[in-house]
This record gives sequence, structure tokens and C-alpha cells, in this order.
Amino acid sequence: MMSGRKGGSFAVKVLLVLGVLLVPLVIVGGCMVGKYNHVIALSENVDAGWAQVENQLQRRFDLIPNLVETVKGYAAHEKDVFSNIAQARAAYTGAGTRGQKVQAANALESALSRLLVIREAYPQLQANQNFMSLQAQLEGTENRVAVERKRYNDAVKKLNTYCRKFFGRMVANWAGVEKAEYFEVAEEAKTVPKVDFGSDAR
Amino acid sequence: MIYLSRNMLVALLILSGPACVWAGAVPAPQAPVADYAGVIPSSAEQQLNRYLLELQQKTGAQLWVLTIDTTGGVPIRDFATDLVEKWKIGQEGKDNGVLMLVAVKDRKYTIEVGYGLEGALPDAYCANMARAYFVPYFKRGQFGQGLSLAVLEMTDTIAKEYGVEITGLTAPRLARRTRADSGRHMRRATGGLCSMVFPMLVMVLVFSSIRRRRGLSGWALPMLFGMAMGSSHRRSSWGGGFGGSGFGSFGGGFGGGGGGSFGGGGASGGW
Repeated sequence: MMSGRKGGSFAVKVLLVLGVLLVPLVIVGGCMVGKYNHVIALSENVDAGWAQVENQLQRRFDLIPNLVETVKGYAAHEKDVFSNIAQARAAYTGAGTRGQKVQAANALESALSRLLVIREAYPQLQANQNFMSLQAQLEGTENRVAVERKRYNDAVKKLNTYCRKFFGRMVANWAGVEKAEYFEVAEEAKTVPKVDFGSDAR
Repeated sequence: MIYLSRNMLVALLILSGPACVWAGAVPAPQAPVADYAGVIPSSAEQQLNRYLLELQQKTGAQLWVLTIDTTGGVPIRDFATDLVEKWKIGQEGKDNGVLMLVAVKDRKYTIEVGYGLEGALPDAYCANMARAYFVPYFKRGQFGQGLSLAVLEMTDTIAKEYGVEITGLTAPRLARRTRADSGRHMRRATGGLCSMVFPMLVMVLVFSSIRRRRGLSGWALPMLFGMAMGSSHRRSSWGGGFGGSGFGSFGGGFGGGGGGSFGGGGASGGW
């Protein structure tokens, strides 16, 4: 009887100790899995956002040759503008990392906005249906880029905020997730560019 | 479960931004035409509502018209983007919503086109239409007239895209209009190469972007897990849940937005 009761209480003790050790372990483990999944999801969201940004940048990129050809028909002597666009376009093709692409995309954007400014000097250009249509497409594309850029930046913000938290940083390290770079808009893109037509330009 | 996880994905995409203050000030429309600026005659408003509800019943596509006084200094496209993200015009998965927004005192307009209609309503078409109907009529203060023509034109285009007829609707026919004040913009968006190639390009892009989005549902499940377990601050902040609110509500009533998403297609301008 005595020994049996002792054995029973021993088993209970062992179970208790195991429980005390295991239950927090399971809870902590569960939490860690949850956090791991969370940070992976945040990171995936950033990548998905970037893919959408690239889609739209590519769309703009594809639009440029037509636009440039149309404008050239009316303003062939605006060589600076065209060569800037060609350079920016080439730089975009050559860009490898996200940071480089952002830089090249911003350069392209400012080169393109100069192209749209010179149209003011050519009334015939604005009467050209092809140009009007291309311009609408370009504006639409710029807006799509802006929308996707905002969504991407929002996703980056969530990830980076998470990665700065105490546990977040730990979990991110563990999951091999790093902070992402924002798509910063170039300062010059925010202001309307001025084009100097010069005296001989007209 | 699949729906749920997709909703989670949508929620993640939408809620990822900081809460938008300005768009919150605009109450959700109770009908396709929400004339908050009070510039559309009520008879015209009723007629447009009838056409637009019929369009919604027959095609599922939602075209909403919204007039406000001012965006309060916010660029109109940003303002409209926030609204369509909040209201989710169009059906979920089909993304066939359109918002025409006019800020009367700002003298600015924008047309936002959902992903699914970017092929039927390319940017150049929207820009042409706005130049043909919005600008000349808005300049004279005839908002009802300009908006009616634009809605008729666009409703007709969407109905044709879906191969349905809207009773009693005759489109104003953008192609034939030759008004003096807008004549140079009026001829239909460049026949020939451009109008052929671009819609195709748009379609390809739309499809590829949709596929990319769809492809993500795979991680939405682990996401769910993470949301349940981690200390998540994400909550669905709009009452009544998201998505699907438009489903099954086409039987004559206006059910609000149905979960459509937008990617910045359309055109904007001023007068």
C-alpha cells in the first residue's frame, strides 16, 4: 500500500515536472512558429509588391520608343531630351539590384517628364492623336507606378517596423529575413522640371 | 478556407498602408451615383442609377459616379485610389469596377479603372472620353450633362464588352462627335497600330499581374497561422467584414462594393 502510494505520487511528480517543463516549451514553440510565419509573410509581401512595381516600370519602359518616335517627328532638334531618355533607358536595362533599378527608374521618370514639358512648345504635337494617346498611356502608367510604389513601400514599412522590434529582430535573424529598401522618389521628380528651350530651339 | 485566405491576402495588401485620413471623410455611396456636391439634376441622377444598376445586374461590373466639393489639397488620383481601396468597387476576383470622381471646386476629375476592365477601358479611351464630355460641359457648369454623356458612353462600352444590352440606352458615340471646342481631341483613339497593340499589352500585363497575385495564396495560410499566434495588430477595420458584400445582392439592390481591386488604371485631368 505505502510503496504503491509512493510510486503513484512519484509518477505524479514526474508528470508535473514534465508538464511544467513541456507546457511552456510548447507555448513558446507555438508562438515562435507563428512569429516565424508572420515575418516570412511580411517578407513575401514585400517581394510581391516589388514584382508589381517592376511590372509597371517595364510597361513604361516599353512605351518609350513609340513616344519618342512620335515626338521626334515634331521636335527632332531637342537632342538633349532624347539622349537623356536613351541613357536612362539603357541604365534601367543594365540595373541589377533593387536599389539600382529604383535609381534608374527615377532617372527615367525625370527624363520623361522633360519630354512632356517640351510638348508645350509644339502645338502641332498636341493636335496629333497618336501623341495624345501615348501621353494618356504614359500618364496612366506613371499613376500605376505610383500606386504600386506606395503599396510596395507600405509593405516594406511593415516588414522593417517588425524587424526593429526586439523579438521581431530575433525572429527575422532566425528566418533569414532582412530589412527591405524603400522605393524613394527622387527629389527632382517631385518638382516640375524646367526646360530651357534656348533662342534657337524654336 | 480558400476564400478566407484570399481575403486575408487582400486585407494584408489593403491594410498595409497607414490609415488614410482624408478618404474616411467621404461617406459610402447608397447608389451608383453619389452626388455629394449636388451638381447633378435629380432626374438625370435617377436615370443614371437605373442604367448603372442594370449594368451591375447583367454584368457584375460596377461603375460608380461620385461628385465632391474638394479633395482638400490631396492630389485627386491619390484621393480616388484611397476611395476605391476602401470601397472595393467591382467583383472580387474580376476587379471590374470603375470610379468617376469629380471634385467640383478643385476643377479636377479622375476616372479609376479596376484591373479587370483595363482591357476594355484603356487609359487613352478614358482620357479621350474625359476630354470629349467632361471638359467642355464642366467648363460651362453643366455637370449633369457631361457626366451623363460619359456614363452612357462607358456603360455602353462595358455592356458591349460583356455582350449584353442595357434597356433604353443609346450611347452618344464618341467617334462621331465633332464639337468645335474639343474637335482636335475627339477623333477616336488613334486607329491603326496603337489601338490594337496597347489593349493587348494591357491584357497581358493585367493577366500576368493577376496571376502573380493569385500565386501568393500559398503563403496566406501560414499567414493566418501567424496572425492567430503572433501578437498581431492587424484587424479588419471596416465594419461588416470585407469582400463578398456585393455577392448575391444584384437582385435589384445596390449592395456596395464587391471586393474589386484597382491598380491605377484610368485617366485624370482638370478643366
